[in-house]
Amino acid sequence: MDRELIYIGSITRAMKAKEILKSHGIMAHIERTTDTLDTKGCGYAILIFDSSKAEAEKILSKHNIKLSSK
Amino acid sequence: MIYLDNAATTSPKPQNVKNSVSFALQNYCANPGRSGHTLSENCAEMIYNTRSKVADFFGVSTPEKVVFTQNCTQSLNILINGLFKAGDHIIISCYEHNAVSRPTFAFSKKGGSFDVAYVYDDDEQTVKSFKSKIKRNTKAIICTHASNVFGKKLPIERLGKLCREYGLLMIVDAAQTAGVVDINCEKMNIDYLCIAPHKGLYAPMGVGILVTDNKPEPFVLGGTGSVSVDLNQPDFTPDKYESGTVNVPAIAGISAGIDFVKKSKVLYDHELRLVTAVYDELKNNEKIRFYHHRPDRSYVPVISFNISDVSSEKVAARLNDFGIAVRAGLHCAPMAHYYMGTQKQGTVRVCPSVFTMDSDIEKFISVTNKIAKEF
Repeated sequence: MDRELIYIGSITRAMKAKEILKSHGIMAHIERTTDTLDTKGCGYAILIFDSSKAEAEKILSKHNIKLSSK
Repeated sequence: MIYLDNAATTSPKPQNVKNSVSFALQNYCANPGRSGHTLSENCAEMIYNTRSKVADFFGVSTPEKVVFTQNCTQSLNILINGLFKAGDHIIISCYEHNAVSRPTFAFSKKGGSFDVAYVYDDDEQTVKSFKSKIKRNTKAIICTHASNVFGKKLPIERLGKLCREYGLLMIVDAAQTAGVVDINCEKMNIDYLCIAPHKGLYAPMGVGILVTDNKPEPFVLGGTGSVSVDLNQPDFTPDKYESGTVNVPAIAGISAGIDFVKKSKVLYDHELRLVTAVYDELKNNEKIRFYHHRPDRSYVPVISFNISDVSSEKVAARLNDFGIAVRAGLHCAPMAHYYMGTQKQGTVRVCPSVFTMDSDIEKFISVTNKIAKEF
């Protein structure tokens, strides 16, 4: 199973992103990440399975969800 | 005890609220948005769901605009302290609680200014009063949705329209109305909404709601669980205004409280009928004085009265002897009392809830008539 991570700054945004992706039929899971620890500090990532990261990011951008870079 | 002090805080709380708070203490006893473990995530999910429920209930465009504060007063302080600068002018109403008037006065000592608009029985006249106070440097109208002393509702929708027309911000203190009357921020042109969930939403004390964008400067900074490397406060909601751990059990109580209010569809009608009964039964007692006409739908179910020129505190204490809880004095709203001419005596305030029964009101009326004879 392919795993893709989308970085998101806050838990509220991550929750909203998960909800939006679910409504588009994309299964997502919230994960605490250390990948951004030195650049952003504590953060969250949306883990998506079996879907295109680009497609998910497009959907989230459409809903004004600000994504974090790594 | 017959509890008629629901404008201060609703009591008792519904069983589903008590259950929800207790459930949260057992099952969401973790720090939301701080840790990655399941308990923390479950807790964060409950809080997010509550934000969504609040947003949906009050016609807010998105859940991130719902911020949990310590109380409604803190919500108002964030706005009044954080949105305006020296040279700005704001308009408040003559019915404001100190939660608005004190920070507004403090703002005026830092180079800002304000005017007070009067509220009339005729909404048209009220809107005109606000309009007449608009100046070139006016930035906002900040007003209560309804007087916490006399129950008079302000024409918020029309004032919202006025704000749109003049490019002003519309800030509403919904301490007495949220949960009691319908509020839709989008439709009513409300930019910022401040809520006391422990009143009309039947939630526990110790939590407030602020509906906001990310424009006000916060006065509490600290850990938010996000962008922690940056020494600047996050610039996005709700994190910008939620430093430190939020009151998780109380937030669970808000969720249950909204469910309760949604189910109790006749809440406002029931309470208005009760205060109308108080008015109808006591108005013929020549010693008892009310300060407005018979309560109608332009009022929330809050009514104030006095017995002759007897101190309101004395009357409240006497009612307490009979097991009846009311609130006397100035109700933290001295401006409202000056406006109504009751600043020396205060008033005795009566506010039922959905749990108040007809028999409670009958007893209150009978005891008040009896007490009136003593003076």
